[in-house]
Amino acid sequence: MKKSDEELILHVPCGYKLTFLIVSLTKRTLLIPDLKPAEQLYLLEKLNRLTDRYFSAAMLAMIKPMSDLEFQIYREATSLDPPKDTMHGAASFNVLTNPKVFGHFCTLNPSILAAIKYRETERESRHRDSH
Amino acid sequence: MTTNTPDIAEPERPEWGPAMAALPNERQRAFVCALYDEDAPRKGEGLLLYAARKAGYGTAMSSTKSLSVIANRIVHDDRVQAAVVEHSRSVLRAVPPEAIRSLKDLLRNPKARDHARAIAMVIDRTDPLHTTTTLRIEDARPPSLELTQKVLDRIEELMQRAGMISPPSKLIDGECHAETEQEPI
Repeated sequence: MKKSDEELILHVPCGYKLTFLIVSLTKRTLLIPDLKPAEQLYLLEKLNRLTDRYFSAAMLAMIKPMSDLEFQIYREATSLDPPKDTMHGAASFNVLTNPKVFGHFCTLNPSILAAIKYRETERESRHRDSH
Repeated sequence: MTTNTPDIAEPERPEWGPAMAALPNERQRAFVCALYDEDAPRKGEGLLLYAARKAGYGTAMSSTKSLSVIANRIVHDDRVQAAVVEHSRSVLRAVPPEAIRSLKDLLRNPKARDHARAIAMVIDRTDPLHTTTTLRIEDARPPSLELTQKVLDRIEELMQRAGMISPPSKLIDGECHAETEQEPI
């Protein structure tokens, strides 16, 4: 990963780091062969609701499904959450949004980095247009 | 002349408990026992008077008032009160046969008001409901720093195994020197 890429990743807010991962994970889930149409619709609706001013629909479309290795890392992180977690996954959140771990996700799934870069270019163009 | 009837032993004097035995005379013991007589009136209806008379206090000429003074004096004696408590326990222990007989009567009478309650009581005692209590202890504490570090190390290991990152290069040779700057004189 280039130095500038690392800096870009570093500037992604922690909450959105998780959004990138959740999108990637949801897309992986959508690839499960015998998924019922109702379940598919439920997941697609969830994905649709994730977009906002920061995380655009174009970025959502860019992110590719999670690979097996990414999923393994994701599961390692969520193993930290206690069975009846009252902290809403705080333990796994801290690991998943850790700059190094999130960097690994970006290495394994370049579409995440591409989405981050796309967001940066969009932001710069908006900035230019306003001046 | 001999008879075929088995010898019936003379009724033995009851073995008194320590409180009853501590009473100074038989009359007081008889007074305590008389309080539990089947024919005794209820308290407030002349129970003490009855017990005093039955125990042999007073004379034939004693007035009700003087007998009641005697009875009150006896009943307020600490030793008599202790004996009453002790005797109550032993009387209570003898009650169950009668209680069971009454319960049986109640069970045999479907028209009795508490017939259903009596049935429930018997069933509860012969085949009681089992109550299972499950105590679940959950540990919701956040994971320790060591555990988090273990997971981070495992992630690194997974990345290295997949060839996505190279392991940190090992230091083959190295010497460390502590250098101190010499101040100019």
